[in-house]
Amino acid sequence: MIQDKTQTSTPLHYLTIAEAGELIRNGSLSPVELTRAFLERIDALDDTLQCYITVLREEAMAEARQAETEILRGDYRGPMHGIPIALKDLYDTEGTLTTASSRVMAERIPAEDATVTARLRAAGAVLLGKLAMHEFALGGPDPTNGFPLARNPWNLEHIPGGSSSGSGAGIAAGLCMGTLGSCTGGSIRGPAAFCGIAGIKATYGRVSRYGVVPLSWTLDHCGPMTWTVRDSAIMLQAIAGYDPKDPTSSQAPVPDYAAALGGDIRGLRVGIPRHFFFADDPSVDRQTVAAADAALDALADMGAEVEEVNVPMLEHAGAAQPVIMLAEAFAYHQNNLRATPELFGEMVRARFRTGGLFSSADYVQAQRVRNTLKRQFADVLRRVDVVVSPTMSNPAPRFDEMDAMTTSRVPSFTGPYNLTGMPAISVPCGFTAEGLPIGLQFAGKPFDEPAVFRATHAYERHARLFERRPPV
Amino acid sequence: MPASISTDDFRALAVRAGLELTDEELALLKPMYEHYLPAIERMNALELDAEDLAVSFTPGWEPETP
Repeated sequence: MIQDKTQTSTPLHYLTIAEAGELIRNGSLSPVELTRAFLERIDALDDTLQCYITVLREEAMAEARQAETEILRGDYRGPMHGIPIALKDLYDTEGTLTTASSRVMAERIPAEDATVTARLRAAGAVLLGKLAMHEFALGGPDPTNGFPLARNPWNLEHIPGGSSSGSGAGIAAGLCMGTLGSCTGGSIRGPAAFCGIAGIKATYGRVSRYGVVPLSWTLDHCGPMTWTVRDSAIMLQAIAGYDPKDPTSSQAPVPDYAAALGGDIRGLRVGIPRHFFFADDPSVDRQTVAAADAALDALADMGAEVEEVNVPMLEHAGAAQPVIMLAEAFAYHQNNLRATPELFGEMVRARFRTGGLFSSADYVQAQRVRNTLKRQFADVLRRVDVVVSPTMSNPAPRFDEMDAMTTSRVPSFTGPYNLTGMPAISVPCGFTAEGLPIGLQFAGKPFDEPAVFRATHAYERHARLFERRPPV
Repeated sequence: MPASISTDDFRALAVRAGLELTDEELALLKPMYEHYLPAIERMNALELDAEDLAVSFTPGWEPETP
């Protein structure tokens, strides 16, 4: 048995994946003790935070014991070996309830793992359980659908963002070390921003979606959510790569993401589409803009070359993204919407139905706008390495401010990159006067996650906001 | 496309989509649909280039490497 010889002042539940992985590798930390610490943390806090739909206590302990046995006999698999993680409840897990937080799938037990679930198991990760989410990755925190409503650990009266709500809150509160979110319009970066963590939507096709309950086939992306950028790089390394079971999966080679970390950003070319992300819009929170502007100053001080860029078609992303997303979601759910509408929560039912009302011409024009937007970003990214903006236009709203359209009434700063398929990540860049986190978004060229990781890792080390934890 | 739609026209849209909705459900859904209309109207008014295809079709039988 590996003894806990960490002698660290950091509680086990607040270690990063990189820190814990190194301690496990050198025999200073037992995966069993680490997993037990997380299960105790879940027992202590999750009645309040409501992050988990399913906790796999016995299974997790068994997996941790197996990891420990393997490591002791010299079969160390890598930096995810023995690391306690959790998955948004739309990733298929063989033999374990996978609901997409909907009564439509309330008793659904998949016969096989999603490809990324299998890859994380192969990397030796320990699965603590399945995390709360907005219904079918869209519905919002809807008390009518009967599933847990995860709360923001920075302030329990505020939402943690969505749709990967339990993932964002769970990482911030130390209820797991890493999770996978899914993202169709901002469902990884939004909760990452609202919860003060790192979350990356990898390039479309970079991470397999086989075995992931879809929302919108042409917009859905997968990616890690973690406390630090380095942890996201470690987790992405474990799941990225071609999957013949996913027809949208890319065969582009997977680089070494960790190799991109640790350098400086002198000479990095940073583009700012100020006309869109920093416009004088009364629906955009001024504290958010100020924090992002301060972060841009910091990037310039660190040696980056910051310049304004122009992407005119961004003006229409706010129409194209919801038309495509809701039309495709309606196509997927229409039979259930007609046959058993009562099984859907009120929010998601209304939004899905809206998708059936758009015309075919609306959908075609939205896809044409999308291609134009992609072409304009391609032109910009021939001159700059990354594009930076606030992640969200506003900090996390309160639960009592939410209805089915709350998030649609403010500009989406994340949706454009679901349209273009570019890699995009959120990292913390500040806090509001009320103590709510603010996120900074970096996007890069398709499959150039290393540039995105390089820039955000350097900024994260400079800002050091990862040293601040929520009051739970 | 107008930024609002009559109740009768909206009901016809719902029927076309195969949705059998009560008057209460229609009343809930109509403002949500109308919320999107101005932006969709502006989007549909765009004159895009011929190269801006909606989708590209590949006649090959094997998946293409992106």
